Amino acid sequence: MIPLTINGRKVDGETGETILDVARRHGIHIPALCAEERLAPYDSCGVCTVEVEGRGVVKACSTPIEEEMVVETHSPEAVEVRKAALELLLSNHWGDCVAPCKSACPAKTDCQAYVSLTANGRFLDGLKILYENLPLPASFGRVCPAPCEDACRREIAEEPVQIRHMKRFLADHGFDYVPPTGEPTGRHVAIVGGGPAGLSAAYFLRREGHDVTVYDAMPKMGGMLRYGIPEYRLPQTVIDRELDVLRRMGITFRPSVRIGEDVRCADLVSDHDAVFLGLGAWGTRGVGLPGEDHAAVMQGADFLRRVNEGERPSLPDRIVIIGGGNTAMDAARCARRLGAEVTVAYRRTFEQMPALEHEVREAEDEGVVFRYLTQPIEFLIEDDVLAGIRCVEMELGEPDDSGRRRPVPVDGSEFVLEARAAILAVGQVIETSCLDGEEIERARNGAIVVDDTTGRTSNPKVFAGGDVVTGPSIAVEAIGAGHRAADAIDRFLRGEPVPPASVYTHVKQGVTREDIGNPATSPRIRTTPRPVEERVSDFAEYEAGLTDDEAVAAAQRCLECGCMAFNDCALRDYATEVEAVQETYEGDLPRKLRDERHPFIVRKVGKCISCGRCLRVCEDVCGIGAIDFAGRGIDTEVQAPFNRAWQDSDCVSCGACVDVCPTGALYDRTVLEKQVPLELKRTTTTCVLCGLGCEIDILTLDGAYMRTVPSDGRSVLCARGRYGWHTLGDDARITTPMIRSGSALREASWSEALGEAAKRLTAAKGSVAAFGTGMLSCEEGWLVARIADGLGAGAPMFDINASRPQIEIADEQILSLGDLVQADLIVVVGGRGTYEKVTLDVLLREQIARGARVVGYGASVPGAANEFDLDELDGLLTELDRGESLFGDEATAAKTPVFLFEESAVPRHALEEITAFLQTHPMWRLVVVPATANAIGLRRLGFSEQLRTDAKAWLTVGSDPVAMVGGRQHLLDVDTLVAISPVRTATTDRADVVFPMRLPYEARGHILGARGPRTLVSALDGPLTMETWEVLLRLAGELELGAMPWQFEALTAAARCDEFHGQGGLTAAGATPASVAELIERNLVASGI
Amino acid sequence: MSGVREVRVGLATCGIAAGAQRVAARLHKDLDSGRIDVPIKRVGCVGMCYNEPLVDVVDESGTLTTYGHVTEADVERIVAEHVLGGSIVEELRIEPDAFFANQVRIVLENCGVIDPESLDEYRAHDGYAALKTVLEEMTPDEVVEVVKASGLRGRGGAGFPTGLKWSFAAREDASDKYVICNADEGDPGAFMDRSVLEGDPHRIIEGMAIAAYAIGAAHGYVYVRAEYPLAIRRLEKALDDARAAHLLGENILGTPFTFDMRIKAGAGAFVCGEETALIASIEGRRGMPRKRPPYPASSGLWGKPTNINNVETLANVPWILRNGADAFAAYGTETSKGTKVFALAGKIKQSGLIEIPMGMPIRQIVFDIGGGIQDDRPLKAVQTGGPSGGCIPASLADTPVDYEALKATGAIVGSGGMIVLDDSTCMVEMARYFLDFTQKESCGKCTFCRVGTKRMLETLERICAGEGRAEDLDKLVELCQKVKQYSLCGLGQTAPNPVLTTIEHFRDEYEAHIVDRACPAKACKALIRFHIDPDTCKNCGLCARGCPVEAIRAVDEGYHVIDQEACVQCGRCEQVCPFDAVEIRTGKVEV
Repeated sequence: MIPLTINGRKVDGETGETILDVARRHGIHIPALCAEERLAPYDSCGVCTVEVEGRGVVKACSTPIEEEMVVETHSPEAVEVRKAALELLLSNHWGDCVAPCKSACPAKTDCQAYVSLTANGRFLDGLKILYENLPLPASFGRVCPAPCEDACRREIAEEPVQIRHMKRFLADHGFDYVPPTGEPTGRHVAIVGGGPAGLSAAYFLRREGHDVTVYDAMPKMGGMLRYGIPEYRLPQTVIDRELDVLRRMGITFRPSVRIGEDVRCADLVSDHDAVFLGLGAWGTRGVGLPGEDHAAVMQGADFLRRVNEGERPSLPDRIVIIGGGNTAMDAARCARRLGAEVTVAYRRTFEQMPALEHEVREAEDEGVVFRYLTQPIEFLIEDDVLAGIRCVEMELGEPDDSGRRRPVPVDGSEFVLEARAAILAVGQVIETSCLDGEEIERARNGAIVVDDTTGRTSNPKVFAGGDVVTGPSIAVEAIGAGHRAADAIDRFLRGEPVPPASVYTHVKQGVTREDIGNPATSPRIRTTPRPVEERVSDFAEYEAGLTDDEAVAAAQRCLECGCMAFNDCALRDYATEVEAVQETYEGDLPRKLRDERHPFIVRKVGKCISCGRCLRVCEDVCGIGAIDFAGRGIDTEVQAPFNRAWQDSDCVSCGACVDVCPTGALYDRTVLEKQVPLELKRTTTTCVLCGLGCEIDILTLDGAYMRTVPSDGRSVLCARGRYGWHTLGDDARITTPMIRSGSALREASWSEALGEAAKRLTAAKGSVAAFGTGMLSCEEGWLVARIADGLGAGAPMFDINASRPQIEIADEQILSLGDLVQADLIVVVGGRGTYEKVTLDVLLREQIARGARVVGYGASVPGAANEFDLDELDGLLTELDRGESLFGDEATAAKTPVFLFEESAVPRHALEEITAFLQTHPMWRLVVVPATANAIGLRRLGFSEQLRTDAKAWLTVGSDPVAMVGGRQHLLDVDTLVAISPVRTATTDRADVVFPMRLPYEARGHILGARGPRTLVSALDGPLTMETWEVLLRLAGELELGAMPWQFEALTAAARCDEFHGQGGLTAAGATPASVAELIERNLVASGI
Repeated sequence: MSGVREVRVGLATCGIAAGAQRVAARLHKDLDSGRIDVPIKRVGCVGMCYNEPLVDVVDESGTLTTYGHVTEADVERIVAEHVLGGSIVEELRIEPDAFFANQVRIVLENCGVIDPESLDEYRAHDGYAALKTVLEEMTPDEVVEVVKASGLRGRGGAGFPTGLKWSFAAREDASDKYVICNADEGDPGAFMDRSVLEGDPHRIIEGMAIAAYAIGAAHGYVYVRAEYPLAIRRLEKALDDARAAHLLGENILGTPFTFDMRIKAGAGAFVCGEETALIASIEGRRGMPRKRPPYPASSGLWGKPTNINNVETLANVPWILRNGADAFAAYGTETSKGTKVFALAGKIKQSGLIEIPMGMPIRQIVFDIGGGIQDDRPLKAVQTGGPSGGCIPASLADTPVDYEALKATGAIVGSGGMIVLDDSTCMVEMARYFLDFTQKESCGKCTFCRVGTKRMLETLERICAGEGRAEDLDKLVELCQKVKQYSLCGLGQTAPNPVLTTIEHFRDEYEAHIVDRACPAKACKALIRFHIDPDTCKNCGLCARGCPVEAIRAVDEGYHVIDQEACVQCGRCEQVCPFDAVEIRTGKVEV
């Protein structure tokens, strides 16, 4: 024990440990990028700097501890060096933590996610993601000015992705989706203002489980969305539909309640736990010109409100709109729809006009005339009628404060613009006189003063956001403000501290067309507005949304900018921690494109920080060494030899490199065609694809498979376990029962199919053969065995091809995989496939590192002391018999020698030789990796490898005996074939009755594997509601086989196999089949069944 | 014949590059034809690279006459007049006295004197005598003690006491140990190690065998750059000859001592000069350093105790064992004993390979041995230690060459590069040059070296391009200090030295670049303009004809002018102008 002090805490370390080892063991946080617990200290990233008293700043990963050392992990000096190292790394990092579209969205909607999900055809998932940050997707899908599209990288190549349209598409798709609400909190929040800000705050508070009431002065909710935007852009029915969703979430609406008149703010404050003010900016302002008070001179906002309320005022034939913003466009186009000749007078030029370009173009199309550089100076009233507008021509002078060139009058250019009515669309102002007398601080212009990040006002219970704080702005800003305030209110109501620090976000700077890979030209999908003549005659929506195919095609244009490691990046976490910035050491950037040559692993080379963890884990842990650094200096890069695709090296696609990558430089492809950075659900279960039974996490999106990773993040999976599900499409899935009708199968009801199966099997009673796949759980296996027994079928059979000979070996001589740590000599017999062997190799390398000697016979193990051909095994056994060995004294000197092989990889003759040898050499032990995940459990349930050849009827559960017997046609001469199967197989094609079955990761249960009892957890929803054990139970019921446990809980509690743990009998081949069946029955009896 | 004993031709790489092969061929033709009958001996580099090709004629009396810049035509005269005629060809003769007068030859004692491919010659010059004494009369501990007492320090650059280093490996108890000779000479412009390997290869074998005996090793490696094919060839021949003579292999010289060695040709990565990277490279891995400890002395090649010495260090060993520790320690200063070989280069009249006793002031090297600055321009600074070293300004020219004294100036002795700079050298550009080298040679492992040196380089590039920013200098110094302190190995730790020393001693030059947009040395193209003085111009038009971009034209007033927009600052006009009318201006254009 070496005592030392870290951050004032006395801790003990062992000889040989580094500061980082000890700190991590004691849960003391030291950032480190290149250090990984399985790998030797590498000492390269410079991030793990700590200060040691008397020695200054050192690297924790490579500094051995010393007696009475005093370490400070976050001293100013240590943090300064750490920050410098991180900022150097950031200066050479080419990537976006989040996609620019998402960064640009004031509401922080995850644009890339819903666009990509749309591209993958996962529309409902897209809508759900959209709803995470946007309560009114259909409305914003129509009217949002889409700052996201301005930021879209696709614009560098041609035009941005149609992100706004994507919202409309998803929201209009017809899903009956109501976002979930949290557990009720019993807190009640009043929202004043039913516009975007208020509805946003209401929505996000409701999602957290708070009660929310929204008050609005107008007769209907929606605020400016309803009263400020014309119907042809945003139909009232769309707003109504969206409000209905909010109402179904439980939000209460109280329209026609005017604050200051019908209710005082102070009363709301005292009656509620918090209040949010989203009053908007409904005040109007004049331009101070003679004649503007005349009735023929209208305010744009008033005009639009009247039209939106359903009024269809009759307008004089000539109208002039004064202004150049979106309100001006809306007013102009409404006036056109009311039959007027419309001129827009704007004092600057087209280029400076704040209105969206497409709005201007559409207005032009609809016949609106634009007069630029035109400034009204007087409304000419003659006989109480507007006779015209005196204007002056302008020219552009020096830039003003806004950076735009200031228009100045041209001397002597006055003229009269013909007009019978005018609409002033020069902007709205904040109007908060309703708050007079309330204790809420306001600025001189009436704006409510709030804290920027929380929206909190001078009254701690009152929050505000939207136009009433910022002045008139785009609606999506108000959504963001409402969301931020809702978060703050939620924390306030829960008594939690104020907001977390901002998260570091890296941004690609100066992106060029080359940097986005010179994408093939793919223009936007043109949406077709209704014909001009038609649309100027009514207020119906002027343009249709995207069709499914169009939406997918439009979404396919997404360049996938956001980082897949957005929530799992140590570089980002540490940068956040020390408040690092990417600009400190600016310089050339590694503008590398994605390397997508590998079928499963994507490399973002520009994000690599050269920590070398990937290549070291490949070499040191996996023993493969497929990749290494190439190049020198700043151009150093991880590559396979000669920069070939990684899979063209010694790579076995185990993905260990991906797991250790501390940034987003390496990531797994998911099953989706277009990759999406998403928070995925993790479900821990057991891999059933081979007998090793590795613990895995299945990552899912809404119950659908996305990818697989090792549960502990450090175990090494094989390509099959990790990426094999890529190939498992659901094209061939069986989803309903089927009955043979002539040469074909027809769909049938459950009861019909069960009746037919029972009838046929009962008829063949006594000459039935039952088959089960080796992946069946103990629960399923027990039920199969019960059914087989009831049908007089004898022991059920595995579907493994080569039947295993009986191994007559004493139980004491058989060890489980976990017992390998006891061995000092391991003779591995028989190889595995290139891609599968890595998992066992890693296990063996751990034994080598521990000091065990590994020798391969027909097996290649990286790091093995010796390797021989399989046919030399005979010689070894003979020599061992004589007390000598082919590979020296170690073999004969070994105290705990074992043979290790895999059932499916060892030839029969070798097995027989070893069996014979073991019988005369009791010191030697055997470790067998079973051929399938639950071979041990199923054997203990009585499953056998012996093929019954005299059956007249077959019952198959997940297995495919027709494929198995292959050419032995005579075996197929059965009268009845009942198949339970997840997919179509040779067996189901010949079956008389077929039942659907869940795939392993859709099923629940327990197995008894090479590593002991393991649990199978249903990770995927799959297409079936009925579980396999239920199918078997119903069949057993139909066969009238007696009492059965009808609850899964009872069955599974009985089948957990815990009693087998640690008995040393977890073998492929116990001489005494200590029966799992007996255990299950005993437990079932004990539980009263 | 008229009393000529032998004729020597310098056939090291430097001589060959200057055309010595043709000179040698011409002499051999005379020999083959029977015209002459004296031995013609190829020898290594004698050091006077500025005079190559060199031919020495040794008379029977042992008097040596050196001819320099010898052409084939000169050979005819030397043969006719001196070899056959017995009279020295005075016009071709060079007087090397001043060059050699202040030198002490220990490491280079045989270079340029013996035929490197002849074991007999080496033995005739006391070769392997030290090994014989060591094996027959001394214990390993006694050998270590002698080397310790000599005060020899590692000549690879770090200057660690060699005897002490040996003692570390010697006290390790292991079945296998290794000695490695580091011949991965990587500094630009340095060729000390190459010259020794080419000129006296047996010396290295002998030095390694003695080191192996001292630490108890039976295996050795010479890690030599693949870019040194001649050195490798000569070393290979020397190894074969030594094995044949039982100087390598089992029971060397009839003693129980067994030792053999092999050559590992490195692929020319600068960082492989670093001990742990060199070991990784021999082991077949990418040449990347690792953290020390553990030091190679306890865990080196294949995890075994390993002693690594540089070529020059090992070349000193036989001499020390032959002449005694005291004789060696008699040269040098209190802390730096013996001699040091330098590759003297730059703006010096007599460039070449020199060996000086430690402690000689820089001024004496430059002016007495090197003959002063070319064109008698002023000395500005001396750069030592290559890319890892620093600049010593002329004001500190009296600094003695000694590990501690040089370090005090911010420079280092290094492996032996010494570049003399005059006032036409831009110190910013020079720092940029060296940093460009180290950045490209960084192994890329640690953040501070891989990214830090790149960011430093970019700052220097910006300054040289006239785009320096006011805050650049302070930020640069700060980053340099971090890179120096926190890089993993010597490459990164020393890479900032050229930058830091030039900023320390020539800060005004940096500021001129940044603030005035001026390059005082008139070397940075982005900051200079060529200008034709109307009064001096004689309108001859040579400059306009020479201009590759046609930026010069005559004007009606009767002189030539340069179109600054078109000019690419190639400097041709200045070179060709016979009237010195072209001047270089720098700094902001006066309005």
